Amino acid sequence: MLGIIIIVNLLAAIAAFYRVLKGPSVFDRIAAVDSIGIMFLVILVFMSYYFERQIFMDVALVYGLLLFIDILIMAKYFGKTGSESR
Amino acid sequence: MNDFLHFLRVLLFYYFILSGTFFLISTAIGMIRFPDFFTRLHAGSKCLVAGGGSIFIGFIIYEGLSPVSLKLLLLIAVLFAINPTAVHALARSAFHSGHLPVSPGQLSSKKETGKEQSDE
Repeated sequence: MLGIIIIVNLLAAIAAFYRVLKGPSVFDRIAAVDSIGIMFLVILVFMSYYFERQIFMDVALVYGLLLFIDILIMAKYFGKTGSESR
Repeated sequence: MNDFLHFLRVLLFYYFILSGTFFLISTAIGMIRFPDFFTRLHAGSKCLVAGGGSIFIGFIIYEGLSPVSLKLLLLIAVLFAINPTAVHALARSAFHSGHLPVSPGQLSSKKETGKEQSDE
């Protein structure tokens, strides 16, 4: 049962990858990468129960923090802040 | 009595897991089907936090009181703090660099997003 749910979540992540390949702008791609990252964080928690290894939970925690820094830096790099444009 | 409690715990576990999976699938469908950048951000912030939080609550119920459940609680706090912050930074940056929300009239005539919706 847990393996089936892992595969369903993986299919959801693959379906969200369509927006990364075919986004009209770069921000759509960043939003889709954010959602894929959190889906893989959930899949890591599932896998820590499926393989009975608790180290995957720590990996998920650090992965979430790194994902936050990732999205924030990409949003700062590709766009403009309020003081620059208007 | 103990068997009944264990059965109830497993039942709640599967309830939260399946509802969280439903929210994650609806996030993926929203990422594909929504016509605009800001509506896609709406799918990517609300449904995602609800799905992840629901799945982690299910694992906490399955685990009981242990260090692992404390770690899962920390993961819920991290998820609820970072995902709205990241999405807000992304929406602010996109809005200031020229993205505007599509109005309903444009949406029905499919002028702005016609190329994108025609091949779906």
